[in-house]
Amino acid sequence: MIKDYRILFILALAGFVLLGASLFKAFDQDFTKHQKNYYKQLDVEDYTVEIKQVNVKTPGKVLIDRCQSCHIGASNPDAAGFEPPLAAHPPIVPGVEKDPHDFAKIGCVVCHDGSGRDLDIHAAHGELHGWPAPLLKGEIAQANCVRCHAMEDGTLAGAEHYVKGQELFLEKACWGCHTIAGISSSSQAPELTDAGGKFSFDYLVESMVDPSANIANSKMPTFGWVHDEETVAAIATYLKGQQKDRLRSADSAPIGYIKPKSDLARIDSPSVAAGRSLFAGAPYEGSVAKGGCVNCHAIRNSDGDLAGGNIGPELTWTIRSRGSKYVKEHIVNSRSHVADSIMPTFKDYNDAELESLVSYLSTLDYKLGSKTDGPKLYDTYCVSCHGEDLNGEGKIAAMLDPLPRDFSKYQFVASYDKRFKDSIRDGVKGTAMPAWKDIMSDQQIETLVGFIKDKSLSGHDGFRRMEVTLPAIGDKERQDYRNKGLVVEAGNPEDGHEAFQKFCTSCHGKLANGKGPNAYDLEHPLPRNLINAAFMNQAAVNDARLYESILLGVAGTPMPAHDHLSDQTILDIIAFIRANTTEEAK
Amino acid sequence: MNELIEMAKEFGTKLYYSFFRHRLDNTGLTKSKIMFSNVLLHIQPVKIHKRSVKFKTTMGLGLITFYLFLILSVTGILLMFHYVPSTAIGPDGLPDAYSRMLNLRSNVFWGGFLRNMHRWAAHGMVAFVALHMLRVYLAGAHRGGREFNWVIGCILGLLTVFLSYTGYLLPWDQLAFWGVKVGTEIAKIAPGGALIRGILLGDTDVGSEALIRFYVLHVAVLPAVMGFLIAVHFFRIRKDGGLAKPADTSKEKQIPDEEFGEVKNNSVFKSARSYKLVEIVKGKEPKVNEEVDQMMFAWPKLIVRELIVLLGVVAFLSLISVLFDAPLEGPADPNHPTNPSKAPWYFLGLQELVSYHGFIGGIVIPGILAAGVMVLPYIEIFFESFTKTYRKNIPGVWFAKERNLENALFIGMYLFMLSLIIIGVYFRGQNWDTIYPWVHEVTGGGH
Amino acid sequence: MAKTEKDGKSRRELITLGSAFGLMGLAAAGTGGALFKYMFPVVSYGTPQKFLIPLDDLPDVGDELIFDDMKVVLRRQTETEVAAISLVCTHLGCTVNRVETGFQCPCHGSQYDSDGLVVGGPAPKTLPWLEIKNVPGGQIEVDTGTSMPEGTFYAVV
Repeated sequence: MIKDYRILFILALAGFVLLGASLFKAFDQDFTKHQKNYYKQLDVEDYTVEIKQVNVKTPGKVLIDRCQSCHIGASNPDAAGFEPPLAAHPPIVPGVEKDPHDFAKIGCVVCHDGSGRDLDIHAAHGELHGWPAPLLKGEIAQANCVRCHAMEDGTLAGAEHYVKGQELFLEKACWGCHTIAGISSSSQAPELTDAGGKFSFDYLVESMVDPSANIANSKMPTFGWVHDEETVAAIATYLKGQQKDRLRSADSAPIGYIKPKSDLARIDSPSVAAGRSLFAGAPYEGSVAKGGCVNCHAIRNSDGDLAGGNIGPELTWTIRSRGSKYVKEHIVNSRSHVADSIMPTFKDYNDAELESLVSYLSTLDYKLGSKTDGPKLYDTYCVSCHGEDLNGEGKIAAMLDPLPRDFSKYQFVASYDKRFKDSIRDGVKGTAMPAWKDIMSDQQIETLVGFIKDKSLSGHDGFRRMEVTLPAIGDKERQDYRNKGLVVEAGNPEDGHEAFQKFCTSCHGKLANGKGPNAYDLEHPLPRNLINAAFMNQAAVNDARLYESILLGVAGTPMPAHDHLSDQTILDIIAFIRANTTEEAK
Repeated sequence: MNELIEMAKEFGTKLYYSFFRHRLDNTGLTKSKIMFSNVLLHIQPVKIHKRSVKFKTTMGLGLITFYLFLILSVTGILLMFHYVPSTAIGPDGLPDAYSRMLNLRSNVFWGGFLRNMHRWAAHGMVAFVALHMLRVYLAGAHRGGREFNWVIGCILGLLTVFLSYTGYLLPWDQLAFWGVKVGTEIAKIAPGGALIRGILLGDTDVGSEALIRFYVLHVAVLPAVMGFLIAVHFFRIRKDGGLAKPADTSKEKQIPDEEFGEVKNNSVFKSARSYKLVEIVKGKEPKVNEEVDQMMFAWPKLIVRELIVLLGVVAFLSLISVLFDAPLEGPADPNHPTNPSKAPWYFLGLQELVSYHGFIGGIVIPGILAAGVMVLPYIEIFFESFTKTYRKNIPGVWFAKERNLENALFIGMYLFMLSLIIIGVYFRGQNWDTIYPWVHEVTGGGH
Repeated sequence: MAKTEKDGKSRRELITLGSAFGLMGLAAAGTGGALFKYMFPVVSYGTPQKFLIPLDDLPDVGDELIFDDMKVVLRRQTETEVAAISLVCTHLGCTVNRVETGFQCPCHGSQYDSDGLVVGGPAPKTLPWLEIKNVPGGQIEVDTGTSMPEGTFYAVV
């Protein structure tokens, strides 16, 4: 029996000790230590250690704020030199004798987030997994100025970091894709009106630096400025401040405006200078910076130095290659020309602003001399899209749809080199390829084609492709062997639709938009978007070409030959594709 | 003076006998009286088979489960003082139920500790129910007239899981919300599951109605049913003659008599055997001969051992609760699912199965497991009757040779579920993709 | 010999068992104490009992300032002396109004003079004068849970 009793005793002892441990843990709270330390440093002897709670009263809400149990010296100027957490809070509003923020009334959480009820440092600072509002330290806390202060009509003193973020949001053209109510309207990308209410600061930063980190299939480009921590932090602070759920409405907001913000002036008379400002995202004569083309598009000055973003095509030649009407339409709605362009629609620009942009772009006149050799031509005009290795992977290629042609596939070059000259001269409609005829002379174009052919075909033996002709309808001489020798009739779009669903959708998609399930496994080039009307309706894409591409496949691409289809079926498919892209279908 | 002492003695004696109905000596009569005159002890027999107190017999698993239930009841009632089952958004923008969790953590002395105790005890109870069931099966203790008690035990096990599951929602944090959400989505697959889900949730989705219903189930309905069934479970063990044991235990090595505490014989007959109490137990005749030699007084050995188990459970739970805080994520947000969304761990095996095939994983396999396991003893009887197999009755024997096949199958089933749960908890990451816990942090719940 | 050995054994048993139960009793007592404390929230969820006033916000000498939320009137006698009087009627807890003659309760007509002494109505006691403490950092702290004798002024720095 004694053995049992001993076990009982030991377990009772263990239980007793653990009870003590749990009680100790309940009693042992950080603020006790901090408060004792604080009063000791101040030489105060008569004090009680207690939880300092502020009930922050806002219309409809009472925030419980116990932060000053540890941060007890926050509003005591004598504690300025103390170690954290006891130190006095630095002044919030610069240049005033007495800071208007009284921490005994507003507490800490209002600005700094975190969990005001908690007393444990990790819990209180919102470091526990999943806490929706982690602590905002230092300047970042300016995100919460607008929880109480209305910013619509002024600039808030002490919120410089936030204001800088606001300016950067416009300057960096974020507004082109993202909506923030009252600032911008665009349905291109997720709305950010409640960005601060939904996301943590770190999430916002991460989403800018690496757009695919949080949304795997994000289409947001990675901008060049994301490596500048200050810029990112300022924009994230601004975004963190975008919260639908405010503590004060605009009319009950405390005053605190020092310098009135300029009215949102719009440009009403076109000028090159205005266009330059818009292009750079800089304010122009008191207007708000609402441009920033340069974040995506690069331009060349007259010495040929390139500067700007790597997301959209270079714009040095855009007026010369596209014409100003096209450029204006493209700014307002890029999809009217290029079906799959990712460029945001800047539909808010007025005519004067569009005109300014066009006149600014017209001033760009860099051009190569007429005796320039192939490599130099290629390196200037082609390389940003088609890449140094001619493989269609230039630095801006990733954001283009369709992707630039890959000339490293020699089969393609060998089969279709006759088209190259026309494509360069007149451009390829519905894609990012412009017409170069006003920039390059015919002789330069031939030099360029020669350069591409030499580079692509060297080291490869020739590639011979079968020649086929489009069957003539009703031609009794030509028999459709796979269709039991029947005479070929005009294509029937309905039969074509059926055949398309059977043979084409895995790559080209049910909608024929080139986004079939197998397209995800392909890299370069991707299946053609067959409802890109601008592309499909240009002269070079005739029925003969479609027939050849379907029957024999496209050399140097994943498009395989379909010689198991009868001529009639192919014609039906062509009819179906055509029916999709007629004017009525659009 | 002496008179005073006499008077005091008399007073003391009367006081003592007003509380207790027994003396304090080593006689068999006292030991019997202690057991049957004490409300907490009379549930147990005065005399027990010696093997009942051996560790090997039960490993205390059923008892641990019962103690966990008691601890859960006590801590649960205490937590109710500080809890409101409401999703109304409070003054500081958090749902009421959730801000109560924050209060427990920061503004209630010992609140965090009690919540930890409750949480870990709940998980422990599910685990120990499973272990207890495994023990009972492998020792064949579900046979020999105890088949129906096995069914009751299975119902108790399901109740435990359901209690744990209903409690999982109450903190109203992301973990709770999405854990329960996933669980009820699994329920949808079953025939009539949508109906049951509707009754449980009181709405088309997990929301404030669900919280109230889960709360009522958790604090009133289920514990009441559970308490009643526990009483039936214990009563039947008692009426079936205590713990299951083989017909002949004379060959077994037992704890020596002196370990059960000394028994003075103050009978007038001076014969040790004649005074031993005869139990009313199942069987053809009162067991007198060798069986009686194997019986011992329950007081004090059994009671002390039970107390040891209780203290062990409390001490271990306290240790866990001091060291590890119960999880609490951000407040429930129906618009932002956690990725992955995992049900509590005891449902993760199911969730894993469902991820392969909705019908087979969600209905067929769990149906076989729940219903099949429940009627397992009857299946055994069925086969024995219809194949005319005579198997020596071997309840209470670990890994009896005659039962190798069943035991192997049963262990196999446990291993199968266990591995599914381990995969679900540790090897599933975002979008239910396979991850390795040593490469990626395991998130999304399960605990 | 055998008898003493047996006695010794049972005494050891008794001591072990006794101390085990003693420890369990202590633990139970500790648990009871903890649960007692468990029943009271550490800080009340309602209006806090104590509140801070920056020295800059004190009323002028000879003037008063009423804090509606806290139901307190702060009175400044001299440059350095202030007192705080509770505005909670000692009768049934209504908030009294400041009138020219002192304080008047709107609920049952209790009347107090300007020092809070009862001059009429059902009020049983003087309005409580509250304790004021200096808090580092140029603030004073009024504790609405205290009750000082009337006329208790505190020196503020």
